[in-house]
Amino acid sequence: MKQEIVTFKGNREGLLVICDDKALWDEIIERLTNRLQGKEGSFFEGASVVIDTGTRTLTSEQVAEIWNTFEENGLKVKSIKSQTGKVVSECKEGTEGRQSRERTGPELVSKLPSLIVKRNVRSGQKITFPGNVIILGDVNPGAEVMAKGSIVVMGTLRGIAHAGVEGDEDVLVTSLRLKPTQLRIAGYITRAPEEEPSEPEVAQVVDGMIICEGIEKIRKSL
Amino acid sequence: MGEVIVITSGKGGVGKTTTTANIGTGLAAMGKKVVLVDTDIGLRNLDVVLGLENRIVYDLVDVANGHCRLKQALIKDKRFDNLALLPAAQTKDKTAVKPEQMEVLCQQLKEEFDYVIIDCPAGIEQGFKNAIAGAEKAIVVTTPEVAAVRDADRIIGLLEAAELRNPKLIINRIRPKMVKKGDMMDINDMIDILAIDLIGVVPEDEAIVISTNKGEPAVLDMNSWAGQAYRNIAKRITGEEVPLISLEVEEGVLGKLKKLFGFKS
Repeated sequence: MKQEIVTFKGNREGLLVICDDKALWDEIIERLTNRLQGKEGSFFEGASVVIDTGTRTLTSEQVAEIWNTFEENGLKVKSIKSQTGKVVSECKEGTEGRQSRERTGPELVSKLPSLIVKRNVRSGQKITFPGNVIILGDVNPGAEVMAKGSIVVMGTLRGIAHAGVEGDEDVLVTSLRLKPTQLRIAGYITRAPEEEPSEPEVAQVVDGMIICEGIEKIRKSL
Repeated sequence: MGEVIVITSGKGGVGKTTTTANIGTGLAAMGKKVVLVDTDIGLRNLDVVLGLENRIVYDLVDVANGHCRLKQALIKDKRFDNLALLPAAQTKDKTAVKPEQMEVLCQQLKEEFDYVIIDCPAGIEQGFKNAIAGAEKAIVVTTPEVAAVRDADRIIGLLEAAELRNPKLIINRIRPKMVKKGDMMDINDMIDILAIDLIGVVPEDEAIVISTNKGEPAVLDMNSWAGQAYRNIAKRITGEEVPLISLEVEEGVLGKLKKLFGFKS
């Protein structure tokens, strides 16, 4: 019998999914999709999952891809781990926040899962994630970041950022230097102003328009 | 054991081949054993820039497919015995070689040479994948143009994805006068975007055009400004610390006079 490239194990905390070390990444995603959508799929639904990706190093695109594969099939991802013992991405309890869809004004606390990207996002690279995205680095021209929630760039945002891709307007985009090619929040689109930003700025939707303001002003208004 | 360095850029025409020829010749002039590998199959140029075109019998594709021995395809440079070229095939295309074959080839070459320098074709397709397959280090060449910097950024992303960490940057064809006037991108602007270490800045120099056409790398021309920059880059590759050459524009008598009378030059 062929060695199974993804192994599902149940334990006290939920489901542990182990990805075979030698398998190709695309094979793993394909196999996962097959199993989750196959006849045993409904059995897993609603389970919380810990994913062990073996010794491979994942790119943030791959983290987002495997995360989406589970979430789209009704499972909750608790964390993604590699065998080097390092937690790649973790979601704290409380994803129930995402079910309350009615607008209650800007939320003070986001309970969406968050993806932390510890590198620069360069031209041609795209990060898509069903939650908040935090980037410790720059987002360069030609790069795209798409998030269901908010986007925080601890560096210069020069590329395209789209927060609230599923229509949530109560999200924000913030960056140490906010000078995007294009900025999108939910269904609104804007370009960066011509002048250089002098301080970290926050962009959010106010009265049907994307408004960028200095972070100090936002802090004082809270 | 030598090291395998790929010279790449994404965009065409920024000076990958010129850079490869000059760095390679520069290292050879320092007494290192160097081999230059042209992976631009179908559009080979490196042989022309080195003036070795008429000596090609076998090429990279012949070696990869076992039609000849590696030694037979290596062309010895006319100036330095310790410099060799493995030319690309001209009558085939990029699919004639596979990345796995390049890995094996680089392994063999680095046992014999101190530096294996790979000239990468423009683009991000098969040719690029072949070129980086066996490389351990990468040098990204860009010119001070927005389009070239954008492509360099894309390439750095792809290099990182292929586990080629910490590529070094060469800024080519900079014109200090234009930078000073604010008409050309500044070195700092480029480093700010690309966020990688600079290994050299090469000024625009007419001597390059002449030397490239003659098949004599400018690095050997002691009067060439660009040649000096390439000599410095070669030294930095060997681990020597050399300060960047001064890009201060020499003011003519007229410029000095203008300054004296308070005109902006």
